Parts: sequence; structure tokens; C-alpha cells
Amino acid sequence: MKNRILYTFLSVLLFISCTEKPVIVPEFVAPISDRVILLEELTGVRCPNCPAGSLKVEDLLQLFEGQIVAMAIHGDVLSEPLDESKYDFRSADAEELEHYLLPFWGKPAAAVNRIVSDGQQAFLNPDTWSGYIEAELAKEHVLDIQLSTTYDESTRALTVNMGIIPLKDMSGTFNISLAITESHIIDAQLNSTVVIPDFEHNHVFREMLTAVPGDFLASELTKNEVINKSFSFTLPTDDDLWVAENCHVIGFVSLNEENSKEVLQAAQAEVVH
Amino acid sequence: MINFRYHNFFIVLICLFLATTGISQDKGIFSGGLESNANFFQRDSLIGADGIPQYDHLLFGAEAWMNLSYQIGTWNMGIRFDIFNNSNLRDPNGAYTEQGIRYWYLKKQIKNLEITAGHMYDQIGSGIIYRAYEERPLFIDNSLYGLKLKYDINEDWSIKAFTGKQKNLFGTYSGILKGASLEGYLSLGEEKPITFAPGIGLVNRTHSEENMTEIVSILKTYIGTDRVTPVYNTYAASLFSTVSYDAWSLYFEGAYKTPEVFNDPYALKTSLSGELVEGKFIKKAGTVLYSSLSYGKKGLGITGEIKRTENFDFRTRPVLSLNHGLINFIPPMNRINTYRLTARYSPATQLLSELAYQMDVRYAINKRLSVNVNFSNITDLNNKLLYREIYTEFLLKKKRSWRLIAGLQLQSYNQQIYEGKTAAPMVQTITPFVDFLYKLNRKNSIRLEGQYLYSKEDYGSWLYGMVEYTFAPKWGFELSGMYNIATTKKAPKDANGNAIQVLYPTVGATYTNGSNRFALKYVKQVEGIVCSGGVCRLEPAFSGFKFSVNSSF
Repeated sequence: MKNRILYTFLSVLLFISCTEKPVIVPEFVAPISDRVILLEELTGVRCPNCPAGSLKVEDLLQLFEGQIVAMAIHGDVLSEPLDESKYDFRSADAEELEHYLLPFWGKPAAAVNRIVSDGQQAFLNPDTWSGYIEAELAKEHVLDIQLSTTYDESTRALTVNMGIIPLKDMSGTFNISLAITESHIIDAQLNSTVVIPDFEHNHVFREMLTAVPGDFLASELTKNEVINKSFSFTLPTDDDLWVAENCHVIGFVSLNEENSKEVLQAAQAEVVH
Repeated sequence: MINFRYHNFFIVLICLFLATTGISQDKGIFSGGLESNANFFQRDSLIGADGIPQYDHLLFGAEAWMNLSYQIGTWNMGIRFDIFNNSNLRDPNGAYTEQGIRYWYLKKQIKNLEITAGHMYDQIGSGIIYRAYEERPLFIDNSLYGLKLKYDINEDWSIKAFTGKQKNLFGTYSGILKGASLEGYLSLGEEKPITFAPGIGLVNRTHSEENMTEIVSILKTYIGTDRVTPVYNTYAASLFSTVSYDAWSLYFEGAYKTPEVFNDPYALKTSLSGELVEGKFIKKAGTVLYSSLSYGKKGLGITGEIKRTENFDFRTRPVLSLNHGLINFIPPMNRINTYRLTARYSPATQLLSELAYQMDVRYAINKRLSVNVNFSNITDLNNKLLYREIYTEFLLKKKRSWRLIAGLQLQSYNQQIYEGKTAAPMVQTITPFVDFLYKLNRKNSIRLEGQYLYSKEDYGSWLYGMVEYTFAPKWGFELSGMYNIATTKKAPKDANGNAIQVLYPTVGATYTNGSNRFALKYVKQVEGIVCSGGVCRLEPAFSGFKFSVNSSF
């Protein structure tokens, strides 16, 4: 009887007898694609792990050079200024945008072209963001966006021209969005258990020039039929913030359908050239 | 390929066919149950019950499970319909909607061989290398969707083998699981025998190409020594046994997991700029050692437990976090508390680094008076304190008249680790409590609960009171309140920035008629940890009505 038990069990163990061929992790090479991906980082000055997320964003901008544009959204969760903070990065638009990107399980998280995976629209572990970006870059490039800005230093008036060039015929509900971000803002940030008083905040979402879910663009897009849009905005006057040289505009076209808010293409331009 | 909806339809059809055509003259036994919850959300931004779609515009969320099982002769089959309707159960910050048949199985006994196909809940040993189970309040349902064979070698020994995929919502994860175990029973001696219930188990997870692509896409962004080589196959094995003699019972289990790539949120990684950041995927082997010793004689029960865990994060897909995709279950090492304030801070089992022990003593001094003392201590493997609890409880009762439970709980709770609140200090609590049940007559009884949680950390100190009146067997009424009696800077604030002492009330009624139970409650609930068996999650504040219907047949 003992032998029978032993032999039976050993035969089951056979399935561990083979050794597998080692997996080769290749050197990183950004995929060739004309798509530009929107990376919306959900962050906050009270978020202890968010500096790691911000650092990951910088790594990704370097790895996928020219293929992603980034916004850091200080919307609601863990975004209330610290005692040491000089600025409050929150705004009604930022809060609405953060809620628009629900569900997510915590911060730092990032939405990648607003795709949904496992029920989440923003993904928790910064290390996983590159995989989502690669998957998005592998998708078909369906439209181009040309973005140009004109800025009048004396009046602080900004004009943004956006040209949308469909590369195929498409039908659906398409929205257009335009946002302003600001970089090189030095202010406090919680990092693990300590506050970094002079943390450099980059790509901070400042304002939406369209509605937060975007403005309606079209329900039919025809190949090579260019749609031009123009937006005007006056940069607020502030002693420290809204530094025109540090601001960028980010434009993108997304779906606005019940089951998908996916971004089809994004573009970025400096406010001051 | 069969469309999924048709697939479900065929399952129902097969079950009905087997049930109605009659495999034998035996009519078989039908049984089933319903569990349903409905939440009506009322926004209360003061307590943080806002900012999710349910409070903003959905206003209602519900979830329900209805299962049927049928047994006839050597056949056994079951099916379950699940519905989630703007439910916040999956993600407390989001709305989840889906419905359909999420669980079914067919089981057939052919002499010594038992064959199960479909979804199955099961475990090996105490679950350290494999446990497929369901925990509805935490939205855990990781049943295996596949095939299991179990063979009874003789009366005392059995062997089982299984393979399949782990359930993910209404589908499955892509990785493959397979495993086997051999379990038995031995008895030595005649008068006072020493008995053994030994077992050995093995589980293998093979990554899908999809999982491997995901892992490689992460690892190739790493530089220098951070890069590791992933493997498709990971094996976990455990050896376990219960040894019983007289009033003594010893259980031990040792488990080993071969090196695999998993996420360590505390490991340091070099970024492209050269800065070090916490959190990276590492490749290491894992171990768990667990043992419990208990002694039980009339009036006295003593249990001691000890556990050591190192790098045992075993998931069907390594990029998953929190409670998602776990293949195994590591037993918790603290008392499962039930009172509102004694259960407010509860430690989740740590998968990467934990050393824990627990001692529980129960002694009945006489028929009226008994005591329970529990001590648990949890550290990481570097001896950093994670959780400590001293719990004492006295129970005094007069037969058919009243029962009094009173006690004191002292806790140290590492909020940084358990809730990811990195800057939070260790929460220290002192919680006296009392629970008094008075039977007015055979049918009517009243129960009073009072608890006071003293703390200078987190939200500060709390006072909790509850009155519960029961008209047996049908009606029950509850009125309770949790009051933030001493606030900290985390407390809700008024327009001037001053802390507000908030009362969180609950008013509810239950009606039971046979096997049907209806409950309606108005609830305001502070943010807190919800745990079940050492698996926990942070639940946001709630404001609104909760209605539930439960039934069994």
C-alpha cells in the first residue's frame, strides 16, 4: 500500500521534472509609432509614494521620447496642501478630472490614454505604466493633431490652434480637450515620512480650456478632412505661478461613449516658443 | 467558439436536463440561497462620503448572489447567478455593473473517484500554498475554473489533482494553475491513541504569454542589477500535519515557493536619473512556517500559534496588488474581534515579511463566570513592530435571565504598513467595552453595548453605544452611535477650520420569517478597515440606507 501511494504521488510530481528555457529580457527600445499617448498621473502633495510616481513619469518621458505627454493631476485625494506648502495645486477642474478618471485604487496612479483594464482607468503600480504605453503605441494610428500657440507677453493672451487630421474614416462620439500644464514649480511634497520642502513639481495640471470630459468635436471623421479649432485664454497674473515659459498646452481627441473614453491621439506645445 | 451568453445558457440547460429527466428513481435534493444588498447613497462631504459616482449621480448600488445546488444519486451540481448593479463592492471608489452566471459545477462520484468540473473552492493544508475561496464582503472570489479529480485510496488516504484558471470577475485570469495533494490519517495506540493527519501538497502556476509580456515590459525598463530574469513556472510545496494526543493538538505546516518575480513595494530601484526609489519587481524564493498548539480540557482551552513569512506573495498575475489574484491564503495571527471599536484597527496578513505569534487562554471559573485572555504580537522580519494586542474578556451570566461581557483591549497598530499612510504614527488604543443582554421574557430581550476607544492618533478617541431590542423570532431593532469624542487634525472641519465632533448613527430593523431575513438600516459610517480572516481593505466613509434580503431554501 505504501508503495502504491508513493508511486502515485511521484507520478504527479513528474510535471516539475522539466526545466524551462530562460526568458530573455531585451534592452528597452521604444516602439516605432506616430501615436502620442496621454499619461495622466494622479498625484498629491500629501501622497507619500507620489515622488516615486513622478520620477517614473520622467523616466518614461525619456524612454518614450516624443511619444507621450504627461499631466500631473492634484485633484482631490491626498492633494490638500501641507503646512509647509506655498501653493494649492487643486482646482475645480483638477478635482473634476480626478473624479472623471475613477475608478482607481490609490495614488500614485496613472491613466494611459484613458483605457480601462481590470475595471481600473488609472493604474496603481508605476512600474506597470510602461506596459500600457507600449500596448497603446502598438495600436493603429488613426489621427494626427497639429498644435500651435501664439502668446502675447504684454497682455498674457494665449491663442491655441488645433488641427485634427483623421487618417481614416471613423464614426462615433469624438471629443476634443485642451489643458494647460505648468512645470518647474518648487514647493513642498511629502515623500515617505518626510516633507521635501523644495520638490520640483512638473507637468502640473492647471486648467482645462474645454469642458473636463472634452467638447464635442464630431460624430463622423473623414479621412484627410482637417478640422481646425481655435482657443483663447489669458494666463492669470500671479507672483510665482502661471509662468508662461514653464507652461505647456496639451490637446487630445478622445471617444466619449458609454463604454469608452479612450484617447486617440495627444499633442503638446509650449506656450512660449 | 461558443458565445459566452450561449455558454451560460447551455450550463443551465444541462443542469435542468439532469434534474428533470431523472438519472434514477431518486428525485434528488434541491437547495439554494439568496444574498442581496442594496445601498442608497446620500452624499455627506463632511465625513468624506462623496466624490464617487454613487454619491454624485448614480445614487443607488446593489449586489446579489443566488445559488442553487442539486444532488441526485452520485451526481451533484450547482449554479450561481451574480449581479452587480453600480456596486461599490469591487472598488469602494467606483461603480461596477455586470451580471450573469458566475459559478457552476458538476460533480460525479464513480466508486473511489470523484470528478468535479466547473468552478470549485478548495484548499491544500491551511491554504498557505493554495486556497480558492469566496469572501463576499471583500469581493474575493478566486475559485478555480477547471477540473479536479479526487481518489480515495482507502478510508484514510486520498489524493487529489486539479488544473484550471483562477476566476477573475465573470471570466478568468490567463495563467494556468495546477496542483496535487496527498492527505491521510494514522492512528497509533488503542486506549489513548496518538493520531496524525499528515499531508503534502504541490501547486504550479504557469504564466500565460500575456502575463510574461507584461512582466518583461516592466523589467526591460530597469537598469543595472535591478534587472532579473523571469520564469514562466513557479512551484509551491508544503508539508503539513495535525498530531493529536489526549487533550493536546499540534498543527504544523512548512511551505516553500521557488524563485519568481513579484512586486516588493519597499525594495529600492535605480531610476534613469540615478535616484533611488522604493518599489520594484524582484526575484526571490519564498517560505512560510506556521504552527499551532492547543490544549483543551473541561473549562480550560489554551491555544498558541506562531508564523514566519518571507517573500510569499503568490499571485496568478504578479502585477496585481491588494487582494487581487491571490492563489494562497496565509492564516492571520491576531484575534478576530467583533465589537465595533475593538475591530476598528485590524491587521492584514503581510505576505513579504512577517513574524507573528499569538496566545489565547479561555477558562471557565464556574458555570456562571468565564474569562478569555488573548495576546498577539506581529513584527516584520527586521523586528519592526506592526501590531500588538492584549485582549481580556469576562463573561458572567445568569441562566435564562441575563449575560454580561466586559473587558479591555490594548492595541498598537502600524497604520503606515496596514493602510499605506506612510507618515502616520503608530496608533495606540485603549478600549474598555461592555455588552449586556437582558431577557425580559422568553421572546423579548434587550442588548446594550458600550465601548470607548482612547487614542491620540488617527481620528482620536471614540465613544460607541448601541441598544438592540429583539422580539423573537421575527423582529429586531437597533439604534447605535459612534461619536468622535476627542478629535485630531484628521477630524472633519467646519468653515472656520475648527474640528467637528461628528456622530455616526445607525438606525435599523430586521424582520425574520422562517428562512427569510430582511434588514433595513440608515447608516453613517466613518472610514475604516474591513477584514475577514486576516485579509483586509480600507473602506471609505458611508452615508445612506442599506437594505438586505437573505434567504435559504
